[in-house]
Amino acid sequence: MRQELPMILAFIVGILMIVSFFFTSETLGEAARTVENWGVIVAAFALGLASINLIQIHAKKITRGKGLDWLYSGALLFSMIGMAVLGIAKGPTHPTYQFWFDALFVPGQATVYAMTGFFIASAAYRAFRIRNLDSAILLVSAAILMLANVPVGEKIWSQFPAMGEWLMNVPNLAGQRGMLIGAGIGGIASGIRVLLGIERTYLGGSGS
Amino acid sequence: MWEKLVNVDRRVIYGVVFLSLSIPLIWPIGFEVAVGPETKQLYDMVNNLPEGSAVIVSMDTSPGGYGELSSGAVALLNHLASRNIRVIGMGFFDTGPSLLETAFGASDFRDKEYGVDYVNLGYLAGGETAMARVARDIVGSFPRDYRGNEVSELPVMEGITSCQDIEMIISISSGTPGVPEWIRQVGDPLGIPIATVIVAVNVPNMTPYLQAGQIIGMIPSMKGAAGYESLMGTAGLGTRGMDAQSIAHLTILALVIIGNLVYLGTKDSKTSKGGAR
Repeated sequence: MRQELPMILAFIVGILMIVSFFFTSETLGEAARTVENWGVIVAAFALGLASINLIQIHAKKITRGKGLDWLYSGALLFSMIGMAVLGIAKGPTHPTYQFWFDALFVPGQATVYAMTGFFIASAAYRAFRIRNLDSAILLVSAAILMLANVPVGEKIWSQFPAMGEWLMNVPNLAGQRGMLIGAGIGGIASGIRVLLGIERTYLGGSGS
Repeated sequence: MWEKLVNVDRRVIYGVVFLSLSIPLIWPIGFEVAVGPETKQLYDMVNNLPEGSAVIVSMDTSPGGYGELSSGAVALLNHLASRNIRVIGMGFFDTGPSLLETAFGASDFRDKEYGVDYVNLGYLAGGETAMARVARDIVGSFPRDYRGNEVSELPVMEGITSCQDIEMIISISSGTPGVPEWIRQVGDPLGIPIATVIVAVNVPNMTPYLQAGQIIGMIPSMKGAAGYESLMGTAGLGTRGMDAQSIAHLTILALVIIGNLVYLGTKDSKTSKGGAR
C-alpha cells in the first residue's frame, strides 16, 4: 500500500491537471485550482524544511567543524536568523530590512556572479586554443558573436552584427529547437511513465 | 619568452580585465548603440498599450542576475510609468519582491502612488505550479501584498482577477522559473503576450520562442537596455555599460589571440626540440 496509494494519487492528480488544461469547465477548473493550492502549500513547507535542515547542518559545523568552519557557519546562521527575525518583526519593506538587502546581499551576490567574468578571461587565455577544426569553428563563432554584441564591433566592421544575427538565428536556433523538442518529448514520455506507475523514483525507491 | 607568457600570473589577467571594465566607466567613450528588432518590438508594444491598462512585472531573478538586468528593468519601468500603465509586480524567486522594491525605487514609479499605479504582490512558492495558480486567480494567490495590504481593496487591482485581465507579462529573468514557464502556463494557454528582460547567457535559449512569436519582445541584457534607453531618448546605466562591455570584449579577444600565439610558439619550440608533434 505504501507504493500503490501514492501511485494512485499521482495518476488521479496528473489526469485531472491534463484534462483541466485542455477543457474548460467550472468544476474541473475549481478542482485544478485546489490541487495547485496544495502544490503552493507543499512548496512553502519544503522551504521551511530546508531552513531547518540548514540550521541543523551549520549548528553541527559550529560545534564540531574543522578550522574556520565555525566562523563561516556562524556568519550564515547569524545573517539568516537575523534577517528572518527582522523581516517577521518589522516586515520585509521596513527600511532597515531593505537596507541590509540592498547594501549587503545584493552587492555580495552580484560580485560573486561578476567574478565569473574574470575567471572566463583567464580560462580563455589558457584553454581556448585552435587545436582542430571543431575548436577553430567554436573560436571564430565566439569571436564574431562577441563583436556583434557590442557597439565597437560595428565600428570595426559593419557586417559583424549581421553575421552575429545569422549565427543566432540559423545554427543556434536549429540546435536550440532540436533540444527543446527533444526535451519536450522526453518530458511527455516521463510524464506518461509516472502516470502509469512505471517510473517510481519519486517514491524514494531505486526506480522502475 | 613563450614560457613567461604561458605561466603569466592569473592576477595580471584579472588586472587587465578590471582596467578594461573600469576605465570606460570612469571616462565614457560614447559608442553609438544599435537597437535590436526584439527590443524595438517591446518598445512599440508598450507604446501601443491603452493608458490605464495593467501588466504583470515578474521579478524572476536573484541579486546575482539583477546586476545585469537592473538597467533594462529600470528603463522598461520608466517607460511603463510614462505611459501610465498599471504595474502588478510579483516574484517567483524568493528574493524577487525585495529586488522589485529596489527597481521601483530606482525608476519613475517612486513618484507614483503605491496601490493605485503599482503594487508589489510578493513571493509565491512553488515555481511553475505557482504560476499556473496565478494564471487562474491573481487575488486568490496573493490575498495580501508585500506590504501587508488587502490586495482586493487596492485600486490598482480594479477589474483584475486572473491573467486574462492583463495586457502583457514581463519576466525579468535569469533562471527557472522564468520565461518558458510563463509561456507554458499563461502565454500559450491564455494568449497573453510575454516579454522579457533577460541575462545574456540565456539569450540563445530564447531565440526559438522569439521566432515562434511566443515572446513578443525582449531586452537582452545590457545591450538591450542600452537600446531601450536610446529609444526612450535617455542615457542610463545600460548606455554607460556598453562602453565598458565593448572594451572588455576586445580585451578578452586579444587575450585569446595572445593565448593562441603562445600555444603555437610553445608547440613549435617543442617540435624543433624533438618534443610533441
